Amino acid sequence: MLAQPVLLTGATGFVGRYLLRQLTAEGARVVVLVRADGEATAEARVGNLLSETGRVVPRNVTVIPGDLSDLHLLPRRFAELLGACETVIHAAACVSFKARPNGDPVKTNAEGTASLFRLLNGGKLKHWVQVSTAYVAGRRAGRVYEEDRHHGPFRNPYEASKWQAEQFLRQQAVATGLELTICRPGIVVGEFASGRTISYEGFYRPLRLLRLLAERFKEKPGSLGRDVSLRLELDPRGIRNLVPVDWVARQTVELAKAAAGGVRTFHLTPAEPTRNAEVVSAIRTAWGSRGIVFSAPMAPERRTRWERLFYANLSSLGPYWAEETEFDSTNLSRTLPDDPAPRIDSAAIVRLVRFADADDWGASSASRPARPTAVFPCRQYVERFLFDRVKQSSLPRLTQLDVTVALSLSGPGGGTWNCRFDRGELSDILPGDVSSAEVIYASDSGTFGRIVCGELPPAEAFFDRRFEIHGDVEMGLKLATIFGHFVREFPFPSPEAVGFVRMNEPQATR
Amino acid sequence: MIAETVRIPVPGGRLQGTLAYPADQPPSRTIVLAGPHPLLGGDMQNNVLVGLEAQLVVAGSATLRFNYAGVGESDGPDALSIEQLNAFLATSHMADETRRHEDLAAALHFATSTVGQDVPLAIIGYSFGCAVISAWLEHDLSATSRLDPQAIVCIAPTIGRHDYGGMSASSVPKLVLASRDDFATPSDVLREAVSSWTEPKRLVLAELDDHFFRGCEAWLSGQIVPFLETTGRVTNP
Repeated sequence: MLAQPVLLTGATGFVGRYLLRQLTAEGARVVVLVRADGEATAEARVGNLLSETGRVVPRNVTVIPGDLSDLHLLPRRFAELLGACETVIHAAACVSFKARPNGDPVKTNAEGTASLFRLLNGGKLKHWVQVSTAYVAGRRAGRVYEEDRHHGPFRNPYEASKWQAEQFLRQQAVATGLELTICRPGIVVGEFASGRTISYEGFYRPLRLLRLLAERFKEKPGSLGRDVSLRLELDPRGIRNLVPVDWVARQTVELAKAAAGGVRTFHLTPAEPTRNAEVVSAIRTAWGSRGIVFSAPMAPERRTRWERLFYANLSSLGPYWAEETEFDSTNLSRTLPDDPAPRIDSAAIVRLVRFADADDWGASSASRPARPTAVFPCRQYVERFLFDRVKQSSLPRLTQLDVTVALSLSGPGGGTWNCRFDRGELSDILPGDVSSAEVIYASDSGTFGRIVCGELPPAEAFFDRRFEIHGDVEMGLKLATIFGHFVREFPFPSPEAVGFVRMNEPQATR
Repeated sequence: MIAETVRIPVPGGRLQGTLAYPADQPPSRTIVLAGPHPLLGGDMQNNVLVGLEAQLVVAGSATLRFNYAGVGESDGPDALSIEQLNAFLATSHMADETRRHEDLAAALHFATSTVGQDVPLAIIGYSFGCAVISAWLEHDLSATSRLDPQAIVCIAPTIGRHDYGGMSASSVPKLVLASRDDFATPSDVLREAVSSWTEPKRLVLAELDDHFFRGCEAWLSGQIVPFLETTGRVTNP
């Protein structure tokens, strides 16, 4: 059970907004401490996060305008609201790797944590959930365990400040009996299924550099050029501790609920990290940049100008580029055994970079006003368009086609339908239970929309894991080929023409 | 890495292919990739073929993947015609599919003549592509053939659906990789079949992604590269 109400800080940040969505989805009463930003009030900022169609903050969310560095200025009624919270999930942080003139990241991460503790201590607070980072381990050789109490040399002030915050809270927890849960994510990337992200920091920085260079190293039919490779001084078997943001939020909220007393530390890191070879494989798939290859470390003077440009722009990420740490996550897997980290493999990275491309690496979303959530008219398509056009298509000539195939489409505008084919004739389309169908296609409405509009070949969607086949898999593959044939004959008209409002997340392009 | 779009001559036309090779060193071996069934979503853009190409070229090989006749931009009767689809629905086979080994033979000759006759040759088949290799072994590999593959890799072979007589009789070192939950060939059926194949051979079963290896491409190359490096036969000494 989640001790409520829950105070959430950092709700407008990358992980924070997913934490807020997760908490509200579970019906928790949430108090969020948010800074106003220019003309946008704190409440409007939170409203934007929670609803893409309006600015209404749900009743179970209370927004308190405030800044960690100025908590002493909070009006008394707000301080009382904060003091009534039994759980705090502290996700607010400055993620700058470099020291700033105002004292950040220490000011926000270490001093801000201490200020918040002092404000809440003496209230109803029972459980502090600290969103930290696995990299408080500093630069260490060998496997790093969750219970380790030492660290290697820090790579930057960010790591030091997060460690400082952890240490402060440990001391306070021991002194006051406060339950403390420390969540240490690895490198957080976009959502697993869609690749959607709002942050293009961390892992995205070198990817973006590679994107900029990719055009130069793109496949050129017939090319026998010599100067066409960008050598990454990496071991293809080297690892990256990538974790999707939605999983991190889910785990953090579950750990907040799994109260057990005392101080506990969890590495929110992958059991099987991503390999460098998978990253490059994904780049090739997404961008056709076949000239990006691995190389042994080399003297800087041996680098080409493009390679020098790449390494110069890595800047503060340099220390993370060439080496990675191996994190043990036994505590996490024992506590939450049913939801292991989804593996960020090549296909997942392809989704990340395709989203990023479509989002212009954040340049478009930063200035884009919130737009309506997508609704692909699946019902209109299945019950009208498909039913009518199949009769006009070459499918009735498939006299061997005797099957009931079901569509199970999640998301806005989705639904479930059974489609019965008798000797190639589509005899029935009925909404409802799909469990008796011989073949079930499961996907989301957005992917389905792209397939039926001819934007995404069914086979490609399947190999990208955008839809799954249940039941008779072989028949499902055959039907996917046949359906691709039908879509080529009768593509659904341009989505906008039939009222398909585009997803707020940009559609991937290929 | 350099990847060239190539056209492979076959009687009556050309096949579409991609020849990939390291940018900065001569290839240490030539590998031809035979893909899955065209009527089950199989073409040269398949995730297994594309994923392996990336990893194998990094490991120093030249690779050739290609579309069978009638698929993609390859010449030939449309593999996805209504007639083919109807026949496939009824039998799970397409007309002329037993002759796809001719496409493979053309790809092998193209690859070896382009990369070099003295570069060791290996063939990798995925799904139906394994049966195509088997058919090629049975029909084309004779004392007069100039092709002498050093190694064969079968990924998720379609035992029971196609004839594997050629594979069974071949003494070329073979590595067989499959997922334990492969819908096309149950593990026990695969074990039994491979046990009857001529040595040397090795079977590796793992918990992967059914028949499809989505996200497991790196695992596949992790098995294949060491196998290729330890198979010692060199063609045309």
